[in-house]
Amino acid sequence: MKYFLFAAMAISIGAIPAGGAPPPEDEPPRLIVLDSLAHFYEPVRFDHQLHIDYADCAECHHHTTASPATDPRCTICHTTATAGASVACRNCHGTKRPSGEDAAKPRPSHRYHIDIVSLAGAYHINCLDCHQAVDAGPIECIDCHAFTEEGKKFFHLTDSLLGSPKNQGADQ
Amino acid sequence: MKRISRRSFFKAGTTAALAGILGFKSAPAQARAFSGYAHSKAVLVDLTRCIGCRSCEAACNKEQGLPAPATPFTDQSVFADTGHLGHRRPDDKAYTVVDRTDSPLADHPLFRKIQCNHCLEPSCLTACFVNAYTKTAQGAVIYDPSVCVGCRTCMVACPFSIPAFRYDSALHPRIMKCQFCYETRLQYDRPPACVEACPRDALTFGERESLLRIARHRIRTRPDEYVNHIYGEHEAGGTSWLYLSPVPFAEAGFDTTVPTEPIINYVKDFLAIVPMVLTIWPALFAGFHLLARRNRVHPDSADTEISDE
Repeated sequence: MKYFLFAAMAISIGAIPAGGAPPPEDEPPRLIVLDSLAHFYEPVRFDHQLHIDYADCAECHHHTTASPATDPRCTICHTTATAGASVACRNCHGTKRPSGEDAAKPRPSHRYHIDIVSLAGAYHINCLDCHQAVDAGPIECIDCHAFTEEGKKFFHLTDSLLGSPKNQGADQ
Repeated sequence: MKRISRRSFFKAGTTAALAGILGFKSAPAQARAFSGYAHSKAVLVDLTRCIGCRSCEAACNKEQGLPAPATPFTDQSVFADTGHLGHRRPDDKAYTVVDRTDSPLADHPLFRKIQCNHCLEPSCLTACFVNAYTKTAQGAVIYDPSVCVGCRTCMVACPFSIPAFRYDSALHPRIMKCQFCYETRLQYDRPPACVEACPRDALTFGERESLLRIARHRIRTRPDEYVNHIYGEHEAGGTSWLYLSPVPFAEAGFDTTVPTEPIINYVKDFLAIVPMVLTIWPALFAGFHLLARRNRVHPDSADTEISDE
């Protein structure tokens, strides 16, 4: 029961730093396990340290890390770099799918942000588009996350077909 | 008894016929203004986000209890295996398919999800003479197999060639098409299964008016990534599934010859006079006939011919 509770907490937290002792508060995590959406796929082990070496924080975190935003669409309003309450993706990108309701909200902050993608959308759009643009990094679904048993059932995958050359190296 | 003169008969007959024509013509003229139910739901498909992972196909298969596919939904070779049509299309075993187009205008393959577009004024519905189709207030075009007689006129009427027929079932032949997950989801205001399965938010569910706002917002904020056109905003009189594309829609495999008028508008005038022809004309012309022959005796009659001249 104790372990179950811990697992449930870990899933609800969404991203738990793993791989040895956690770094100090003000240092970015080295490895992040993305498991809040794990259902058809196993959790993703995201090498955060590797990406720090390749990209500016703002490229993924927008303005929330207190580094200036780079996207000209953002700098229209976000003239100064203000640190967000949290830099985690899930703080703004919810697990709920975006819907037309977002466009109908009268709040001033939604005049522009009427179209915020979900957490899954943020991961897959940000990761894949960048990997394709720089021609590096995993692109295929199972390059990042292996199927769970439920996922295999969902996609009608049998073990014999999963490893067949037909399903390998398919162009995206 | 007052006899009706030939002249007064023609006068009354012509007036009745004209009233009939004018009366029937005013009704469709009003119906032409219909632009969808208020607050009806829709889905926005963004081709710049779709990568052809086919998760939507798998979700649809599971939700609708469709037959198992020939190859797993991860199989990417289906995009090349398009048959004589040159593109994939939904059939009786798949309500939705993703089709790949290799446009020279895009530096990567384009994927578009194809399913029933759930027109605001569906031509399948108007073509069906047993009313097997219903456009629900939530926006779905649903089909009732219990009244269908299998005439397949809807398949001919659909401008997007969507309804498919289950030919291989001798006992339960029926039309197979996307139902917008009406029974299980849409009637409870939940998004269809395909939308929830999309990993890249290429599909967005919501009220049609809100999605048009979002679509325009995307075009406005990223003018270099989209063409300034929302496919389905006006096509076929407007559809509940809307599309955004990075290349002109004809390049992405869409049929851009679909008229912006609802298909029914092309036949409304004709259909309006059909009841009149069937009800007024027989009585009118039978009357003319009887009037013209009223004093004539049948030539075969044995009686002596009487002339009243």
